Amino acid sequence: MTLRRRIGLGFTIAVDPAGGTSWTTLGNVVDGYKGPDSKADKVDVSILVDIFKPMAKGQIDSGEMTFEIAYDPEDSHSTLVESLLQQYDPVPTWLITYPHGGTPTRTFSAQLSGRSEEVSRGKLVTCTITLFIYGDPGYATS
Amino acid sequence: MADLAENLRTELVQIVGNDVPVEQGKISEETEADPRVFYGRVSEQAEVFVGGQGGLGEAHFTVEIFGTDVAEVQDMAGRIRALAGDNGLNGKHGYFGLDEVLGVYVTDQDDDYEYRGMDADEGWHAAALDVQIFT
Repeated sequence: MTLRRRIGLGFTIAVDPAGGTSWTTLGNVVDGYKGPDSKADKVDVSILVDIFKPMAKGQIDSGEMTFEIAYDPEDSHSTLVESLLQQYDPVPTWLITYPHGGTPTRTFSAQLSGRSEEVSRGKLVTCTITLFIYGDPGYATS
Repeated sequence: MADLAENLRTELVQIVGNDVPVEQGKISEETEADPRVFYGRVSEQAEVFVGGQGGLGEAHFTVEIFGTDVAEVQDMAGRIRALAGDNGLNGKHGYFGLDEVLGVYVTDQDDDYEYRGMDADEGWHAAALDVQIFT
C-alpha cells in the first residue's frame, strides 16, 4: 500500500462505556490526540563474560494517550468523560477513526485515568483527558 | 440573529448617545459631524475542532472617535473602554446588542496605528480602540 499523507482534521474518537461497540463519538475533541507512548521492557540477559550487555525485549507497556476536549459541565460528552473517570468496571472500549481512504479504524480498551481542566480569560475552556491502554492498543500491522 | 457588527453598533450608540453618528466603514469626506465614531471589522476567525466541529469565534473591530474637542474625544474613548460594570464594553459578556457573546475586551490601538476613518487630521482629534469579541 502507498502512503496517504494525512492531517488531523476529520479524526474522531468514540467510546463505548460498556466495553462493547455501541460507539458515542466525542464531538468536542479540540485538537487531536497524543500517544499512546507504547514501550517494551528492556531485559538484561547478560552473563559475567559479556563485554557488551545483550538485552532482550520484554513485555510491552501499551502506554497512555491524551487529548483535549472543549469542556462544558452542561454538555453530555463532557459529563460522559467525567463519569468514565469514576468507572472501574467494565473497561471502556475506544475507537479512533482516520478520515479518507478506507477510513481505517483502531479499537482498544482503555481506562480514563486523568482529567485536568483549564480555564483562562479569552481562551476556550478545556479539559485534558488521559487514558491508559488496557492490553493491545490495536495498531495496524499489515 | 443580528450581525456582530450591528450588535457592536447598538452597544456603541448606547454608550456615546443617539446624537453622535456611529457608522461602519469609511465615513464620507463630506461628513462634518463633530464628534463622530467610525468602526470597522478588522478580522474574524473561528476555531475548528479535529472532528470538523466549530469552536470559539474571535473577531476584532477597530473603533475610532473623531472630534475637534480633545477632552470630548478622550472622554468618549474612556466611556467605551470602561469596564462593563461601569457601562463600558471592556469585560462585557452575555447580551451584546441583540445576541449573546462570550467576552469583549477593549484596548488602545498601538502608537503606529493608521486611522481608517479619516484621510488627514485637519485639526481633528482622534482616539482608536481595538475591540476583541469572543463568540
